[in-house]
Amino acid sequence: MVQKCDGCGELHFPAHSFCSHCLSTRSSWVPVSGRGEIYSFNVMHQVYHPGFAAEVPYAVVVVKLEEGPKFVSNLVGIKPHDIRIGMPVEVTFEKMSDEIMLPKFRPRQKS
Amino acid sequence: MMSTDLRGKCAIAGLGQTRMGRNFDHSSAMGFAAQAVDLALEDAGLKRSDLDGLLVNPGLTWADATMASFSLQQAMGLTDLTLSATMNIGGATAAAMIMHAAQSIAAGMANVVACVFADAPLKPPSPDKAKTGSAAAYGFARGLNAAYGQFGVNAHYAFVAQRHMHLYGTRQDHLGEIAVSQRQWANLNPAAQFYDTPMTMADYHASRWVVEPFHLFDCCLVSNGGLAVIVTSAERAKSLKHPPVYLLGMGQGHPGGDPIDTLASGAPAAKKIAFKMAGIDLNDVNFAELYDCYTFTVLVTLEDYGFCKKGEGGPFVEGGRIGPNGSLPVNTGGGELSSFYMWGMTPIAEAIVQMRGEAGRRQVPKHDIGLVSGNGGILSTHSTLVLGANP
Repeated sequence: MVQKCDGCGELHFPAHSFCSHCLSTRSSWVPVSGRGEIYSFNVMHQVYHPGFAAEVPYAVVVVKLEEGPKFVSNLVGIKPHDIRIGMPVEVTFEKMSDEIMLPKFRPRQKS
Repeated sequence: MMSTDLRGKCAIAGLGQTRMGRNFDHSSAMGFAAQAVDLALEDAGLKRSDLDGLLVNPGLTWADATMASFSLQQAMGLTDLTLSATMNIGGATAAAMIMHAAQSIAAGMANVVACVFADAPLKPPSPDKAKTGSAAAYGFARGLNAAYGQFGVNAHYAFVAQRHMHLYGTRQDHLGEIAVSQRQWANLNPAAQFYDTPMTMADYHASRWVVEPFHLFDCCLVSNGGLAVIVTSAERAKSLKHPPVYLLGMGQGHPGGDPIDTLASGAPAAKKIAFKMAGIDLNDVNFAELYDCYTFTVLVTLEDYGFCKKGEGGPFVEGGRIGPNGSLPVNTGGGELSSFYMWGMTPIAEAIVQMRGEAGRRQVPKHDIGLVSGNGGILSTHSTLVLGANP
C-alpha cells in the first residue's frame, strides 16, 4: 500500500501529512503491485544501532516501484555484492513480531 | 532577475579559527564560537564594540540552536547590534551568511558583521571509555528507514554515489584520487588534522568501509572548534590589518527533488548568479575550494560547475589534476576530508588564506580569483562565492 492524495491522485511514499503537489491534507491508502527494480543500494558496514551489529555488512536498497514511488528497504535471498542496479524485484513480507510485518523485497524473474 | 551592483562592495576583513579536532578547550559549541569571533576581530584589527552584526550557523551540538545568535550575543556581552540571525541550510550556510552580511552592509543596515560556525561533537576521553564520534552525532535515522538499517547521512549519499557509478562508470579509484589529492594538500597545511599523516592510494583502498561505496577516507572528519569571518564594506576593509578579500560574486541554488534522480547539486543555478555578478567565467578561476563532506561531493561539484561534463568527474580528477602539482588546485588546505570539518566555513577559511597569499608551502601561484562552494543536505542546498584580490 502507498499513500494516494485524494485531491490530485499523486502517489506518495513515505506518507506525508499533506500532498507536495496540491497541498491537500486528505489521502487514502491504495494497493500497488509490489513490483519494481533496484534503483540504487549501499552496503552498510558501520554499526549505528546494536540491533544491526550481527547483520553487517548488509545492503540497503532503493526500490523504484512500477507505480513510481521509491521505497527504501532490504533485498532478501541475495548476497549484498550480487545486487545490481536495474535488477527486477518484488515485495515479500517479513514477520518481525505478532503485530509487525515489514515489507522487504526479493529478486524476481523479469516478466 | 535584476542586475546587481553588489560586486566588490564588501570584503572579508578578518578570519578567526580555533584549534580543530580533538579540542576540548571549551565544553560547548558556543564557547568555540565566542573564541572564533574574538580571533576574527583581532585578525581584522577590530574590537567587539565595532561589531553591529552577528550571524550564527549552529552545528549539530549547539544547545538552544533556534536563537543561537542571541545566545552568543549575550554570552559575549555584545550590545547595540543592528543585524542578528541564526541560519541553517546545512553546509551551504556559511557562504549564505556572508551573502546576508554583504547585502545588509550594502543596504546600510549594518557595518561590521561577524559570521560564525561552531560545533563540539567530540567529547573528552571518559573513564568508562565511551567512544564518541560521527556515528553518534550523524547516525540518525528517520522513521521507517531505521527498520531497514538505513542510518545516517553517509548511507543516503552512498545511494547517490552508487547510481552515479552505475550510470557514468565512475570508479572507486576516482573517489580515491580525490581523497589522496586532498591528503597531499593537508600534508602541506600545519592546521590540518591530517598534517602529519600521508596517504597513498593503497592506504585509501585498505581503509575500512563505512558504507559502500564509501571507505573511511571518502568521508569528512569530525571536528570540535569554531570558525568566524568578519565582513565589512570594501572601503572599511582597506583600512584594516590585512589585504581585503573582495566579494565579487554570490549566489545560491536549491534544486529540490530527489538527489538519487538528479545526481547533481545546486551549483549550476548558484554559479550562474554568482559568475554573472562577478563578471567572470570558469577560465578566470585560479583555484577552487569545494564543499567536500565526501569525495563524491567534490566529483559532482566539479561536474556541476562545468570543469568537465556531467558524468566525467571521475576521469577529470585522474592523474593528480586537483592535487598540489595539478592544473586545477582544489581544496588546497586538505578540505573537510583531511584538514577539519567546520561545515561551509572550511572552504571559506582556506580561500581567505590563499587569497591573502599566506598559505606557505601550499600557496597557489596565482590567487586573483578564488571559487568557493557550500553544499548542504544530500546535494540539496548550494551556495557560491567568487572571491577577488582586487575589487
